Amino acid sequence: MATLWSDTNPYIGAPKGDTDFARITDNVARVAEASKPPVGWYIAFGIALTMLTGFGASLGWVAWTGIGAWGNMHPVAWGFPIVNFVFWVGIGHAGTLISAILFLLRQTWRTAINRFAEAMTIFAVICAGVFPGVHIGRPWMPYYMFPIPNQMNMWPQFRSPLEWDIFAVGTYFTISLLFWFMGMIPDFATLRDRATTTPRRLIYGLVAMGWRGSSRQWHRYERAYLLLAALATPLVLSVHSVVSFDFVTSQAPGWHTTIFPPYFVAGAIFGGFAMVVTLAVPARQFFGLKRLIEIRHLELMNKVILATGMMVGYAYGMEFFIAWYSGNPYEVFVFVNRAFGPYAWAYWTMITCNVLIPQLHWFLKVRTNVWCTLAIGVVINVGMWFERFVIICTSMSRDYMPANWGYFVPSKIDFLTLGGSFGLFFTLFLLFCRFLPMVAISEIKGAHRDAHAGHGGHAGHDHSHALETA
Amino acid sequence: MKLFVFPRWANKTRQLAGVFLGVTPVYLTALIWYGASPKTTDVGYQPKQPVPYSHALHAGELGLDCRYCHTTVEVTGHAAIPPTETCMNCHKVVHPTSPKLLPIRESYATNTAVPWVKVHDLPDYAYFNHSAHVTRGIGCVSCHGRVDQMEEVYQHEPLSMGWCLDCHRAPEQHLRPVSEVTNMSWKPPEDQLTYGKRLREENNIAPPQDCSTCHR
Amino acid sequence: MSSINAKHPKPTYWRSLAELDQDPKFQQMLETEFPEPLDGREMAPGTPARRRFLQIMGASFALGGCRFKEDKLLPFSRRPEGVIPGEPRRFATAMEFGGVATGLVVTSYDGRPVKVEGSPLHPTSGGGASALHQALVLGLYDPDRSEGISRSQGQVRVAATPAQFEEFVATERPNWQSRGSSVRVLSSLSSSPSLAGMKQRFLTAFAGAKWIDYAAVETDNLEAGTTLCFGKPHRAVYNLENARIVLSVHSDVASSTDPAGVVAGRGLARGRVPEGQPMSRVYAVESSLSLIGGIADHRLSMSAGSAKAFLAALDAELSSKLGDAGKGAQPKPAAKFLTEPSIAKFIAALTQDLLANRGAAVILVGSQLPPEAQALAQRLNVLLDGVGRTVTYHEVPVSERRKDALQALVQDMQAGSVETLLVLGENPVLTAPADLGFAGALAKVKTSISLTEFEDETALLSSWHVPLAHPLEAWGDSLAHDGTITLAQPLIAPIFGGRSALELLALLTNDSKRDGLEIVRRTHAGSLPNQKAWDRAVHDGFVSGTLAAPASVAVGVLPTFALAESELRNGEASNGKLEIVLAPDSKVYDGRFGNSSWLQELPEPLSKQTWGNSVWLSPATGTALGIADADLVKVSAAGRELTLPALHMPGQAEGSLRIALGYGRYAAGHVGGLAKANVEPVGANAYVLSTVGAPFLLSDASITRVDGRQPIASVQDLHAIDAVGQAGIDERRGLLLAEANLEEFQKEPDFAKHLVEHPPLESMWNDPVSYEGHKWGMAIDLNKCTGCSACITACQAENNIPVVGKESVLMGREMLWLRVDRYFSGSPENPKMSFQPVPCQQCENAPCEQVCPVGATMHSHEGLNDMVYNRCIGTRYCSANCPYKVRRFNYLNFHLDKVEATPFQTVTDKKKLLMHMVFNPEVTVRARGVMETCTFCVQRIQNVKIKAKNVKRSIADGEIKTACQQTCPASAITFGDLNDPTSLVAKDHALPRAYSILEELNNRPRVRYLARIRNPHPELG
Repeated sequence: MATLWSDTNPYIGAPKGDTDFARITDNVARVAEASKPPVGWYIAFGIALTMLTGFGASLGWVAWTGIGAWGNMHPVAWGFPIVNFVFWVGIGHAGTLISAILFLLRQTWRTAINRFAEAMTIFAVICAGVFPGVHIGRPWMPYYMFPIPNQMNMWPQFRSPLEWDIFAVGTYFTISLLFWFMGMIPDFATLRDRATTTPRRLIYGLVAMGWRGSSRQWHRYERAYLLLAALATPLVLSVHSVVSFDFVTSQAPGWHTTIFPPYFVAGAIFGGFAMVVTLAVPARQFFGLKRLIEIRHLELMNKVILATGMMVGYAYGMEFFIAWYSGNPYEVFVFVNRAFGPYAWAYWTMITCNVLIPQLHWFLKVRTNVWCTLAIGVVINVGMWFERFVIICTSMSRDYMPANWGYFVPSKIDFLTLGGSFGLFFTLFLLFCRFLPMVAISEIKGAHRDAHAGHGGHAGHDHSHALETA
Repeated sequence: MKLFVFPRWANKTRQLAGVFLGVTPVYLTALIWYGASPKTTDVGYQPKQPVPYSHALHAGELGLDCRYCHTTVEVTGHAAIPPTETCMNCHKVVHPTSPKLLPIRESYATNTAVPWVKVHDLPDYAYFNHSAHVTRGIGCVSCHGRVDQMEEVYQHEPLSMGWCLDCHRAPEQHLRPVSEVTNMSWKPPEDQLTYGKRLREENNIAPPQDCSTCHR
Repeated sequence: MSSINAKHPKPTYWRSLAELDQDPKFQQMLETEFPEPLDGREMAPGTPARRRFLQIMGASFALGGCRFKEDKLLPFSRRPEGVIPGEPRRFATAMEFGGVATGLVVTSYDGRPVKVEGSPLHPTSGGGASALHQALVLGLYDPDRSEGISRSQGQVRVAATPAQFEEFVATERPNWQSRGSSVRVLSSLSSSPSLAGMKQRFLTAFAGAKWIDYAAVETDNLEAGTTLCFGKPHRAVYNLENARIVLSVHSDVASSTDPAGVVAGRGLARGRVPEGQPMSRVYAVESSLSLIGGIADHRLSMSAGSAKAFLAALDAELSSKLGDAGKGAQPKPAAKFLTEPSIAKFIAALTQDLLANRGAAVILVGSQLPPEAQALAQRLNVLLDGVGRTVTYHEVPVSERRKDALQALVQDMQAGSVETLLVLGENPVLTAPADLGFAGALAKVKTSISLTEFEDETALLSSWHVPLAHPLEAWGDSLAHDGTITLAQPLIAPIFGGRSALELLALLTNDSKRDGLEIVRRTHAGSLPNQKAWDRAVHDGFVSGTLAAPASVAVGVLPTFALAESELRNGEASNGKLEIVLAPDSKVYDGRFGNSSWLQELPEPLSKQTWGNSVWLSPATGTALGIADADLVKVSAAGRELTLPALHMPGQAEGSLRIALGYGRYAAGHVGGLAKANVEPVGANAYVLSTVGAPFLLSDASITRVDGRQPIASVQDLHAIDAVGQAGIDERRGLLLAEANLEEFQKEPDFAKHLVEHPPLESMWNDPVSYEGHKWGMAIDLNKCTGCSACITACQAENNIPVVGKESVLMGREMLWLRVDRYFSGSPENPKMSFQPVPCQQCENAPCEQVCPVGATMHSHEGLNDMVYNRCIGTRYCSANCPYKVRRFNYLNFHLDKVEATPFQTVTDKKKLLMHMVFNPEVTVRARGVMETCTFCVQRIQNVKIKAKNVKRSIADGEIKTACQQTCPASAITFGDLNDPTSLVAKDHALPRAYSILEELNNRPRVRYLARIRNPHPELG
């Protein structure tokens, strides 16, 4: 333990060169190889697991009694479940964005964070994916939504945005998963080679898929990685645009807005980055990755957060302007009602968290301070959840005909489900931190200045004893 | 230290995984599409009836018209199972003491029902109306098969939604003169499709395919 | 009505539940969860039985026809002639309450009555029916009805067999004969000739016995009033159809609580057509908003206490202008409020209108107002030449005031001089004025026999309780409000072996005829001599040509009425000076319908409150006394107190409180409150406030806030709402609900079409279908709609709509397909009220259809938004995208939860299953997790279409009626084929004032509304 977690001296200001490749490998790999993770991990995992149980319990109860167990009502037919769905899909953006787009743009600093940003993406999309399935009234027959030939000669209705969601989210998840997995192959090989016990060798060996690090493999790998990145990039933009179509294509005032697709994407990147920093800071503290995830990286992310945060702020303003400009009384009312109606508290929480507080990042001291970064990251996550709440619940609660108006009050089960989804997320994430290479070893090396000095190619990779499996 | 070496066959895993991923969806689809369809589950269903009533004998050999017993078929949704009276019309004199007919005589005496077992059971939530079909010239045989040759009635057609739609989309496959609906052995004078098309024109048969046609 | 079968008026009966137990078919029915009655109708595919059975098994898994149950087909042994299994049959019958009969037609499937309609043949009901009539059929299958005779043994009640009871009667009869003077009968107020006959037989059989007519809320103030001004007691029958000017003084004549409400509603509506004929003008003076107050062109909020003064002033004003004719008028009362400009102007304009329309004017007075007020109103009706035109009078036999009779009875009971008391169908322990102490007096009676449907508050304290047959279980007769003799025939044999009052009296008097049918036939042997005439009458439901002859009346000279101090002031919002009006409830009436879940959940037309009552007080009064909506308050008058939630009600007169009677029952049943099963009462019992002296109109009352609040389960926002919301409502009211004054309308008839300026409505897509053949549409006339809400219950009955209960209503989960939106405009002191019934708009360009991912709601080629429950997976996207929010979602398993079944636990309790008998077999019974919405009663459309096509005929206009249209007393709803330009609905759609709500969204709704036109007096504006 002691030796494993010794690396506590702050890295700030340390000279660049002193991390050689072996050190990098060691830094990352030993986390996964440690016989025992730190106590902190156990505590965190315990909490996460408890919350996950709550998730299962709440969903079980809902499945047994009907979704009336949630607070959903008339007119707010979509309550927490869809809010959570959109929230998690949003979180699930940064990963692929960081991986793919920044990769295509050759932003080398991404290498420090892309791995668990991607992991985060996968887990967030898993969380998101749960909700459409369980929020429906008859959760035992979502297969009606899939185009399966059947004796009824019935197809799903492809005009429905929900149907588009299925494909958009499904595709995004698949590509992100492949992208993530592919990125890990070389590192799996590393772990496999460093493994000391047979089960580890076996498992890492399996997932390494016979990686030997031959330059031919590297050549194919780079090519495939590039292609996947190119494939994933449009998806980053498409998936949340499509999710926003659920609202855009509807008639409800406050939903029927052309600004939604870009606004949702910006918001997603905003929230996604916030979640990345929220996870990166503890991770680097716990697992001694300060040398790899540098303050520089956090600062860069904070800048992105600041930028996207202002985009979101702009969108909030523009919504009001367009509502007023449209001259449509119902549209105008919805926005006035958001800001000053019964749900004003939710609206102003959102504004504070998403627009005001991120402005602190203008100050160098703040955006280079890990704890501020963490705090603001958390605040933004709260704000982004409220953004979805405001859009969905506030708009629904008072639509066209006053006779339908109602005030949505979530039930206990609602909160259990919401918390539970975080349980699922963190459980998966902690397992990832424990057993998988948290940082892309090979990529970080590839991005390391030494990688291109002398050694050439990828000679740096220490596959001194690469295995011949065939 | 001794290095762990994967056996040679391990190289196959990728291919195997590929095949597995490829085949599973196809198999599942087939399972739902065919395996779970009434074609598989329902056709041929032939429950034991309380009385060994033979349609083959009554409708076939004796040539009773379907409507002798199923009197309401032309006027209402249900082709009513005949009351015991109808049986007794003849069986007061025919086989008045046959032990097979005991349940009938009991029912008649005690004024209670004979618990016939239901054979043709449409998908749930579907509202079917006999009169709407019979009066348009859809023969009994089209849905029930050659009942006149069945010793004990069994289900001949899947009665699935798709099966209904097939006919609602192209009724000419089954149309016949209204006078012939109960004629089990009726043959079209010419090719069924052309003949059916003509009947469709003449009687202006336009079977709707709206959901509310069957679902309410 | 073609399917009323004159040949076979007798439906196929089944016998009492007890006997059913032994019946194999009934057993079979229970095993298969099959709620069909016992005539063994084929178990056709798609009958609710099969469907619900599947639901119970969580069957939605099991689509595609996996067989996990062998179904049985149970044909008749001998099929009655003319019976076609599965075919609905209709029978004429009637329901009497408040002494007035309404002719009904009941639809019955295989001997199982499932739907009540007004009888189109009947001269008074004319096809209309109120919510109370609609709910009749639910009461029939109420498992809480008492199962049999019970008697008290000390503190406990024990069941008794009919034989035991009859033996008891046989032994007691001699005593009654010898000591008849110790026998009393407390009988429901009834106009039944047969009952009158039995009364005579009873009184002769037991010489000296006394018979007391009892009605909890129907007072005989009118009889007393007419005695004052005509010398003899009379009934007044109004003909509002002929009235150009209607003045309503605290009368709620169009409400379901008025025994003749159906007729009044129709009469009022006929006068409210702005096209062509001159439109009537309605004035209302009332302490609380009422339905007629909503229709009114001019409305004055005025405390009920000051009505007398108001009428006196009106009398003075009018008579002075009538010269000689008007002599004997009241002097103008010295009441300050009458000099208020607003009121003075009102009276002036009113007088002018009344005089200008002599012979076409009528004044209606609420039955709770004192005889003097009644006398003044009738005097004016006569002076205005209303007799024979807008009102006819029918003499009624002289009798002492009902309340005096009741008081005398209770005194005798206290004194112990009553040994036998027979209570026929009433619940005096609950409903008698509290200061009488009826319960205590009842304890002093040796033998008390209560004949009631439920083991109610009175039955519990009676030494014998005999179950009363439900109106649909018994033969009977009574008079419609115009005097037509109306016959009631049973639709089913008494399920719990109940008897009718006639049959019980026959037993007690040892009558030669014991059967209800025989008794009724004996009564009408004269008018219906032969079988043919009888069959005709039973088929029609009434004896034609039995209209009561109108009496000719002459106004006598009225004394000058004294006016108490409280009657001279028009309400003050200060404690000790408040007035309380106790009114019958438009849902549970006097409490007798307290166990009907349909009625409990029916939104009260004005307050939109479900499940309970509340104190109505004007927002101003509320603010003055520091009482907010839903605050718990203590109301007290004359030392009596009641605690219940308060409700700010616009239009409530200053300083006047209104509380609905009939709530707070502890022996109603599992719905309305049942102490022995720890079921909390619904609402609070306001009878505790009423006294013999002032039964329904209490003065000098106080109201104080007590700790706590009680949420009011209202289906619409309460009046008090945040400023933003209020602004929003004010802004859009005019856009959703088109209103104009008559002259504005005449200037610009199509004003409703220009409410919203919007760009030309173009769609990117072609119409999904061509709408060849039929094109169903609906038109709703906002000018005719009285808001009575009968349509809501009719829809619930027709379409198997579940009841969700108070908790779910509070969460906004009510399931009613058809809602009646209520809008207030103008000042909260004196608002204008408008109603807007909103069913599914069946849009041609439907938002719901486009967003359903599984295609569970699709467009039919006739333009209906077909909803397919078994395809629906419950994403609720359709509801989210519906701008009218008319789609309702089954958040819980409302139907099954009611019988306490779970997806894996079926129910075998026969009494619970009895509730399923009320389901309409033509409509799917929805389980949890599916969306549902109004279908334009597609089952009715389909059945008529099939029948017509079977014989190759076309469908006549009006042949298909939706449930809401059929029951609407005001015929405000028209439905039919828009492709047929001659159809009523097509004509309505073509009217200039026809418009569709939220047209600018380009949904192209198939429901059009006819704009609301008001006809104000030019000077009142």
